[in-house]
Amino acid sequence: MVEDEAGIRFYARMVRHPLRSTARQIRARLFAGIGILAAIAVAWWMKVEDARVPDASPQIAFGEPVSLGRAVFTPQKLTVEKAGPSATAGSQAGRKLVLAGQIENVTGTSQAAVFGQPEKLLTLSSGGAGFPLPEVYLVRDRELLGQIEPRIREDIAIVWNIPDDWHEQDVTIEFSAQQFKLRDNLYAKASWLLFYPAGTLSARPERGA
Amino acid sequence: MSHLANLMAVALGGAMLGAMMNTLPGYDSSFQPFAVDAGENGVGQGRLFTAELIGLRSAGAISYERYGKNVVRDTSATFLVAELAISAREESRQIEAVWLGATGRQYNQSTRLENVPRGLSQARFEPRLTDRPLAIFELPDDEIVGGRLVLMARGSMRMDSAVHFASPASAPERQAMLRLGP
Repeated sequence: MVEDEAGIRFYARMVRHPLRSTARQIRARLFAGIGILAAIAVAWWMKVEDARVPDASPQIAFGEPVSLGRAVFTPQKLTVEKAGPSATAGSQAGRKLVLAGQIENVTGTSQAAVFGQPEKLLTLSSGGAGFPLPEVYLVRDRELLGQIEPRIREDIAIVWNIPDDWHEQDVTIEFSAQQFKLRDNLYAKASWLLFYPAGTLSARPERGA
Repeated sequence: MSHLANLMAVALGGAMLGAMMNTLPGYDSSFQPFAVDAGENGVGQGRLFTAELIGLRSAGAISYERYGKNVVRDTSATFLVAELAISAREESRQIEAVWLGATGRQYNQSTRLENVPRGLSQARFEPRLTDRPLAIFELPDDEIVGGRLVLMARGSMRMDSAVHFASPASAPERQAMLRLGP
Protein backbone atom coordinates (compact mmCIF):
# COMPACT_ATOMS: atom_id res chain seq x y z
CA MET A 1 0.00 0.00 0.00
CA VAL A 2 2.78 2.29 0.93
CA GLU A 3 4.63 1.32 -2.22
CA ASP A 4 1.50 2.06 -4.29
CA GLU A 5 1.15 5.55 -2.87
CA ALA A 6 4.77 6.30 -3.64
CA GLY A 7 4.28 5.03 -7.18
CA ILE A 8 1.22 7.19 -7.71
CA ARG A 9 3.02 10.24 -6.41
CA PHE A 10 5.89 9.51 -8.75
CA TYR A 11 3.61 9.25 -11.79
CA ALA A 12 1.66 12.30 -10.76
CA ARG A 13 4.89 14.29 -10.60
CA MET A 14 5.99 12.90 -13.96
CA VAL A 15 2.76 14.07 -15.56
CA ARG A 16 2.55 17.44 -13.80
CA HIS A 17 6.12 18.48 -14.59
CA PRO A 18 5.88 18.46 -18.40
CA LEU A 19 2.46 20.06 -18.11
CA ARG A 20 3.83 22.94 -16.05
CA SER A 21 6.80 23.46 -18.38
CA THR A 22 4.49 23.52 -21.41
CA ALA A 23 2.32 26.16 -19.76
CA ARG A 24 5.43 28.20 -18.99
CA GLN A 25 6.60 27.93 -22.60
CA ILE A 26 3.27 29.03 -23.94
CA ARG A 27 3.24 31.98 -21.56
CA ALA A 28 6.76 33.03 -22.62
CA ARG A 29 5.84 32.82 -26.32
CA LEU A 30 2.66 34.71 -25.69
CA PHE A 31 4.58 37.50 -24.02
CA ALA A 32 7.17 37.57 -26.80
CA GLY A 33 4.39 37.62 -29.39
CA ILE A 34 2.64 40.50 -27.64
CA GLY A 35 5.94 42.40 -27.48
CA ILE A 36 6.61 41.93 -31.19
CA LEU A 37 3.08 42.96 -32.09
CA ALA A 38 3.36 46.04 -29.88
CA ALA A 39 6.67 46.99 -31.52
CA ILE A 40 5.13 46.59 -34.98
CA ALA A 41 2.10 48.64 -33.97
CA VAL A 42 4.23 51.45 -32.52
CA ALA A 43 6.51 51.54 -35.58
CA TRP A 44 3.49 51.57 -37.87
CA TRP A 45 1.81 54.36 -35.90
CA MET A 46 5.05 56.41 -35.98
CA LYS A 47 5.04 56.10 -39.79
CA VAL A 48 1.40 57.17 -39.86
CA GLU A 49 2.20 60.18 -37.63
CA ASP A 50 5.12 61.14 -39.89
CA ALA A 51 2.87 60.97 -42.91
CA ARG A 52 0.19 63.05 -41.18
CA VAL A 53 2.63 65.96 -40.61
CA PRO A 54 3.60 67.23 -44.06
CA ASP A 55 7.35 67.65 -44.72
CA ALA A 56 6.96 70.89 -46.63
CA SER A 57 7.74 73.95 -44.52
CA PRO A 58 4.85 76.40 -44.09
CA GLN A 59 4.36 79.18 -46.61
CA ILE A 60 4.85 82.59 -45.05
CA ALA A 61 3.75 85.98 -46.29
CA PHE A 62 5.15 89.46 -45.80
CA GLY A 63 4.34 90.75 -42.32
CA GLU A 64 4.15 87.26 -40.91
CA PRO A 65 6.80 86.35 -38.31
CA VAL A 66 9.01 83.34 -38.89
CA SER A 67 11.18 81.73 -36.23
CA LEU A 68 14.92 81.47 -36.77
CA GLY A 69 15.50 79.76 -33.41
CA ARG A 70 17.25 82.50 -31.44
CA ALA A 71 15.36 85.28 -33.18
CA VAL A 72 12.05 85.95 -34.87
CA PHE A 73 12.16 87.61 -38.26
CA THR A 74 9.27 89.42 -39.93
CA PRO A 75 9.89 89.90 -43.66
CA GLN A 76 8.45 93.14 -45.00
CA LYS A 77 9.65 93.86 -48.51
CA LEU A 78 11.66 92.27 -51.31
CA THR A 79 13.23 94.64 -53.79
CA VAL A 80 15.87 94.75 -56.52
CA GLU A 81 18.28 97.61 -55.79
CA LYS A 82 21.12 99.11 -57.77
CA ALA A 83 23.40 99.53 -54.75
CA GLY A 84 23.89 97.82 -51.41
CA PRO A 85 22.72 99.40 -48.14
CA SER A 86 26.24 100.33 -47.03
CA ALA A 87 28.90 102.37 -48.77
CA THR A 88 31.66 100.91 -46.60
CA ALA A 89 30.76 97.32 -45.72
CA GLY A 90 30.13 94.24 -47.85
CA SER A 91 30.50 93.88 -51.60
CA GLN A 92 29.64 96.98 -53.60
CA ALA A 93 29.36 96.06 -57.28
CA GLY A 94 26.31 94.90 -59.19
CA ARG A 95 22.57 94.69 -58.61
CA LYS A 96 21.28 93.54 -55.23
CA LEU A 97 18.22 91.63 -54.12
CA VAL A 98 17.22 93.07 -50.75
CA LEU A 99 14.86 91.44 -48.25
CA ALA A 100 13.96 94.02 -45.60
CA GLY A 101 12.39 93.06 -42.31
CA GLN A 102 12.38 93.28 -38.57
CA ILE A 103 14.24 90.98 -36.24
CA GLU A 104 13.84 90.38 -32.52
CA ASN A 105 16.06 88.37 -30.22
CA VAL A 106 13.85 85.98 -28.26
CA THR A 107 16.56 84.53 -26.00
CA GLY A 108 17.72 85.92 -22.66
CA THR A 109 21.18 87.02 -23.81
CA SER A 110 22.76 89.16 -26.49
CA GLN A 111 23.09 87.08 -29.63
CA ALA A 112 25.87 87.21 -32.18
CA ALA A 113 24.70 83.96 -33.79
CA VAL A 114 21.47 85.41 -35.16
CA PHE A 115 21.14 82.80 -37.89
CA GLY A 116 22.29 79.88 -35.77
CA GLN A 117 25.63 78.39 -34.87
CA PRO A 118 27.10 77.21 -37.26
CA GLU A 119 25.46 79.97 -39.26
CA LYS A 120 22.74 78.88 -41.64
CA LEU A 121 21.61 81.82 -43.74
CA LEU A 122 18.48 81.92 -45.84
CA THR A 123 18.64 80.03 -49.12
CA LEU A 124 17.27 81.73 -52.19
CA SER A 125 16.32 79.94 -55.38
CA SER A 126 14.99 81.48 -58.56
CA GLY A 127 15.02 80.24 -62.12
CA GLY A 128 18.01 77.94 -61.54
CA ALA A 129 20.41 80.88 -61.09
CA GLY A 130 23.12 80.38 -58.50
CA PHE A 131 22.80 83.03 -55.82
CA PRO A 132 25.74 83.47 -53.43
CA LEU A 133 25.24 83.60 -49.66
CA PRO A 134 23.59 86.84 -48.52
CA GLU A 135 25.03 89.57 -46.29
CA VAL A 136 22.99 90.87 -43.37
CA TYR A 137 22.96 94.59 -42.58
CA LEU A 138 21.68 96.57 -39.64
CA VAL A 139 19.65 99.30 -41.34
CA ARG A 140 20.17 101.79 -38.47
CA ASP A 141 23.96 101.77 -38.89
CA ARG A 142 24.20 100.82 -42.56
CA GLU A 143 26.82 98.31 -41.42
CA LEU A 144 26.96 94.51 -41.26
CA LEU A 145 24.86 93.13 -38.40
CA GLY A 146 27.04 92.01 -35.48
CA GLN A 147 24.74 91.31 -32.58
CA ILE A 148 21.14 91.71 -31.50
CA GLU A 149 20.04 92.49 -27.96
CA PRO A 150 17.04 91.00 -26.15
CA ARG A 151 13.84 93.13 -26.21
CA ILE A 152 15.21 95.50 -28.88
CA ARG A 153 13.65 95.09 -32.31
CA GLU A 154 15.84 96.09 -35.20
CA ASP A 155 15.30 96.63 -38.91
CA ILE A 156 17.67 94.54 -40.99
CA ALA A 157 18.31 94.08 -44.69
CA ILE A 158 19.36 90.73 -46.10
CA VAL A 159 21.22 91.35 -49.34
CA TRP A 160 22.07 88.96 -52.18
CA ASN A 161 24.32 89.84 -55.10
CA ILE A 162 22.38 89.10 -58.25
CA PRO A 163 24.17 86.86 -60.78
CA ASP A 164 24.43 88.29 -64.31
CA ASP A 165 22.21 85.67 -65.94
CA TRP A 166 19.20 86.33 -63.69
CA HIS A 167 16.23 88.37 -64.88
CA GLU A 168 13.40 89.53 -62.64
CA GLN A 169 11.09 86.65 -61.78
CA ASP A 170 9.55 84.91 -58.77
CA VAL A 171 11.97 83.92 -56.03
CA THR A 172 11.66 81.41 -53.23
CA ILE A 173 13.40 82.07 -49.94
CA GLU A 174 13.72 79.30 -47.39
CA PHE A 175 14.16 80.00 -43.68
CA SER A 176 15.57 77.50 -41.24
CA ALA A 177 15.46 77.54 -37.47
CA GLN A 178 17.80 75.89 -35.02
CA GLN A 179 16.28 73.61 -32.43
CA PHE A 180 16.80 74.45 -28.76
CA LYS A 181 17.03 71.71 -26.16
CA LEU A 182 17.06 72.74 -22.50
CA ARG A 183 18.81 69.55 -21.37
CA ASP A 184 20.75 67.71 -24.03
CA ASN A 185 21.35 63.96 -23.89
CA LEU A 186 25.08 64.18 -23.17
CA TYR A 187 25.63 66.71 -20.36
CA ALA A 188 22.03 67.77 -19.67
CA LYS A 189 23.09 71.28 -20.64
CA ALA A 190 21.18 73.76 -22.73
CA SER A 191 22.12 73.24 -26.38
CA TRP A 192 21.27 74.43 -29.84
CA LEU A 193 21.02 71.37 -32.07
CA LEU A 194 19.79 70.65 -35.60
CA PHE A 195 18.20 73.01 -38.06
CA TYR A 196 14.70 72.44 -39.37
CA PRO A 197 12.85 74.25 -42.18
CA ALA A 198 10.83 77.06 -40.61
CA GLY A 199 9.12 78.61 -43.59
CA THR A 200 9.19 79.44 -47.26
CA LEU A 201 8.57 82.86 -48.71
CA SER A 202 7.62 83.02 -52.38
CA ALA A 203 7.37 86.46 -53.90
CA ARG A 204 8.16 88.55 -56.91
CA PRO A 205 10.66 91.29 -56.09
CA GLU A 206 9.58 94.90 -56.60
CA ARG A 207 11.83 97.31 -58.37
CA GLY A 208 13.50 99.56 -55.82
CA ALA A 209 15.53 102.73 -56.08
CA MET B 1 6.60 37.50 -2.59
CA SER B 2 9.99 37.66 -4.24
CA HIS B 3 8.35 39.20 -7.34
CA LEU B 4 6.88 41.91 -5.16
CA ALA B 5 10.27 42.54 -3.51
CA ASN B 6 11.94 42.83 -6.94
CA LEU B 7 9.28 45.19 -8.15
CA MET B 8 9.68 47.31 -5.03
CA ALA B 9 13.46 47.46 -5.50
CA VAL B 10 13.08 48.57 -9.14
CA ALA B 11 10.45 51.17 -8.24
CA LEU B 12 12.55 52.49 -5.38
CA GLY B 13 15.64 52.69 -7.59
CA GLY B 14 13.67 54.52 -10.27
CA ALA B 15 12.29 56.97 -7.73
CA MET B 16 15.76 57.64 -6.31
CA LEU B 17 17.23 58.20 -9.76
CA GLY B 18 14.37 60.54 -10.65
CA ALA B 19 14.84 62.49 -7.41
CA MET B 20 18.58 62.79 -8.05
CA MET B 21 18.05 63.89 -11.64
CA ASN B 22 15.65 66.61 -10.56
CA THR B 23 17.57 67.96 -7.59
CA LEU B 24 21.20 67.85 -8.75
CA PRO B 25 22.43 71.17 -10.11
CA GLY B 26 22.62 70.99 -13.91
CA TYR B 27 25.58 71.52 -16.16
CA ASP B 28 24.71 75.12 -16.90
CA SER B 29 24.42 76.12 -13.26
CA SER B 30 27.53 74.16 -12.20
CA PHE B 31 29.83 75.58 -14.85
CA GLN B 32 29.42 79.21 -13.98
CA PRO B 33 31.91 81.82 -12.85
CA PHE B 34 32.07 82.31 -9.07
CA ALA B 35 30.36 85.54 -8.09
CA VAL B 36 32.53 87.91 -6.06
CA ASP B 37 30.72 90.99 -4.78
CA ALA B 38 32.41 94.36 -5.03
CA GLY B 39 32.69 96.33 -1.79
CA GLU B 40 30.62 99.35 -0.73
CA ASN B 41 33.20 101.67 -2.26
CA GLY B 42 32.64 100.13 -5.70
CA VAL B 43 35.97 98.28 -5.78
CA GLY B 44 35.94 94.60 -6.58
CA GLN B 45 38.76 92.11 -6.69
CA GLY B 46 38.70 89.11 -9.02
CA ARG B 47 41.36 86.41 -9.18
CA LEU B 48 43.08 88.08 -12.14
CA PHE B 49 42.15 91.76 -11.88
CA THR B 50 41.02 94.59 -9.63
CA ALA B 51 38.23 96.82 -10.88
CA GLU B 52 36.39 99.90 -9.74
CA LEU B 53 33.09 101.18 -11.08
CA ILE B 54 33.49 104.94 -11.25
CA GLY B 55 30.13 105.84 -12.69
CA LEU B 56 27.29 105.11 -15.07
CA ARG B 57 26.01 107.34 -17.83
CA SER B 58 23.18 106.83 -20.27
CA ALA B 59 22.54 108.34 -23.66
CA GLY B 60 20.23 108.09 -26.63
CA ALA B 61 23.10 108.41 -29.09
CA ILE B 62 26.87 108.22 -28.96
CA SER B 63 29.36 109.90 -31.25
CA TYR B 64 33.08 109.43 -31.58
CA GLU B 65 35.84 109.89 -34.09
CA ARG B 66 37.38 106.98 -35.93
CA TYR B 67 40.13 107.30 -38.56
CA GLY B 68 39.34 111.01 -38.86
CA LYS B 69 35.65 110.38 -39.52
CA ASN B 70 32.78 111.21 -37.22
CA VAL B 71 30.71 108.14 -36.30
CA VAL B 72 27.26 108.46 -34.73
CA ARG B 73 25.35 105.51 -33.33
CA ASP B 74 21.76 105.92 -32.20
CA THR B 75 19.37 103.45 -30.65
CA SER B 76 15.68 102.84 -30.12
CA ALA B 77 16.53 101.90 -26.51
CA THR B 78 19.34 103.33 -24.36
CA PHE B 79 23.10 103.20 -24.35
CA LEU B 80 24.45 102.57 -20.86
CA VAL B 81 28.10 103.58 -20.43
CA ALA B 82 30.02 102.20 -17.44
CA GLU B 83 33.22 104.05 -16.58
CA LEU B 84 35.72 101.72 -14.99
CA ALA B 85 39.22 101.70 -13.55
CA ILE B 86 40.88 98.31 -13.99
CA SER B 87 44.31 96.87 -13.31
CA ALA B 88 45.47 93.30 -13.77
CA ARG B 89 46.98 91.50 -10.77
CA GLU B 90 49.59 89.00 -11.94
CA GLU B 91 49.50 88.82 -15.71
CA SER B 92 48.29 90.89 -18.64
CA ARG B 93 44.62 90.31 -19.20
CA GLN B 94 41.67 91.35 -21.30
CA ILE B 95 38.42 91.86 -19.45
CA GLU B 96 34.84 91.49 -20.59
CA ALA B 97 31.74 93.03 -19.13
CA VAL B 98 28.12 91.89 -18.94
CA TRP B 99 25.06 93.78 -17.73
CA LEU B 100 22.64 91.50 -15.89
CA GLY B 101 19.38 93.35 -16.47
CA ALA B 102 16.57 93.86 -13.99
CA THR B 103 14.48 91.28 -15.87
CA GLY B 104 17.30 88.72 -15.63
CA ARG B 105 18.38 89.07 -19.23
CA GLN B 106 22.07 89.28 -20.00
CA TYR B 107 23.40 92.09 -22.17
CA ASN B 108 26.89 91.81 -23.59
CA GLN B 109 28.89 94.87 -24.61
CA SER B 110 27.44 96.32 -27.78
CA THR B 111 29.39 95.27 -30.86
CA ARG B 112 28.06 98.41 -32.57
CA LEU B 113 30.36 100.43 -30.31
CA GLU B 114 33.39 98.21 -30.04
CA ASN B 115 35.60 100.77 -31.80
CA VAL B 116 34.95 103.70 -29.44
CA PRO B 117 38.03 105.33 -27.91
CA ARG B 118 38.90 103.71 -24.54
CA GLY B 119 36.53 100.83 -25.33
CA LEU B 120 36.82 97.89 -22.96
CA SER B 121 36.73 95.25 -25.70
CA GLN B 122 39.99 96.52 -27.18
CA ALA B 123 41.86 97.24 -23.96
CA ARG B 124 44.49 95.05 -22.35
CA PHE B 125 45.34 95.51 -18.69
CA GLU B 126 48.77 95.16 -17.13
CA PRO B 127 49.69 94.34 -13.54
CA ARG B 128 50.09 97.43 -11.31
CA LEU B 129 48.96 99.79 -14.09
CA THR B 130 45.46 101.21 -13.85
CA ASP B 131 43.53 101.99 -17.00
CA ARG B 132 40.16 103.70 -17.34
CA PRO B 133 38.09 101.94 -20.01
CA LEU B 134 34.42 102.28 -20.95
CA ALA B 135 31.99 99.39 -21.25
CA ILE B 136 28.93 100.24 -23.36
CA PHE B 137 25.66 98.31 -23.39
CA GLU B 138 22.54 98.79 -25.48
CA LEU B 139 19.44 97.95 -23.44
CA PRO B 140 15.89 99.04 -22.64
CA ASP B 141 15.62 101.70 -19.90
CA ASP B 142 13.93 99.47 -17.36
CA GLU B 143 16.87 97.04 -17.30
CA ILE B 144 19.16 99.60 -15.60
CA VAL B 145 17.76 100.02 -12.08
CA GLY B 146 17.78 96.55 -10.50
CA GLY B 147 20.43 95.35 -12.94
CA ARG B 148 24.11 94.94 -12.17
CA LEU B 149 27.45 95.11 -13.88
CA VAL B 150 29.59 91.96 -13.96
CA LEU B 151 33.24 91.88 -14.97
CA MET B 152 35.30 88.80 -15.74
CA ALA B 153 38.59 87.96 -17.37
CA ARG B 154 38.11 87.16 -21.04
CA GLY B 155 38.38 83.50 -21.96
CA SER B 156 37.88 82.26 -18.42
CA MET B 157 34.19 82.77 -17.95
CA ARG B 158 33.77 79.36 -16.37
CA MET B 159 35.20 78.32 -13.02
CA ASP B 160 36.83 81.70 -12.39
CA SER B 161 35.74 84.69 -10.37
CA ALA B 162 33.36 87.28 -11.80
CA VAL B 163 33.08 90.60 -9.99
CA HIS B 164 29.49 91.70 -9.40
CA PHE B 165 28.96 95.40 -8.70
CA ALA B 166 26.06 96.76 -6.67
CA SER B 167 22.90 97.64 -8.55
CA PRO B 168 22.47 101.41 -9.18
CA ALA B 169 19.99 103.07 -6.81
CA SER B 170 18.62 105.33 -9.55
CA ALA B 171 18.95 105.50 -13.31
CA PRO B 172 21.67 107.86 -14.54
CA GLU B 173 20.39 110.98 -16.27
CA ARG B 174 19.87 110.28 -19.94
CA GLN B 175 21.70 112.55 -22.34
CA ALA B 176 20.45 112.95 -25.89
CA MET B 177 23.97 112.72 -27.33
CA LEU B 178 27.17 111.61 -25.64
CA ARG B 179 30.50 112.48 -27.20
CA LEU B 180 33.29 110.04 -26.41
CA GLY B 181 36.84 111.27 -26.82
CA PRO B 182 40.19 109.63 -26.27
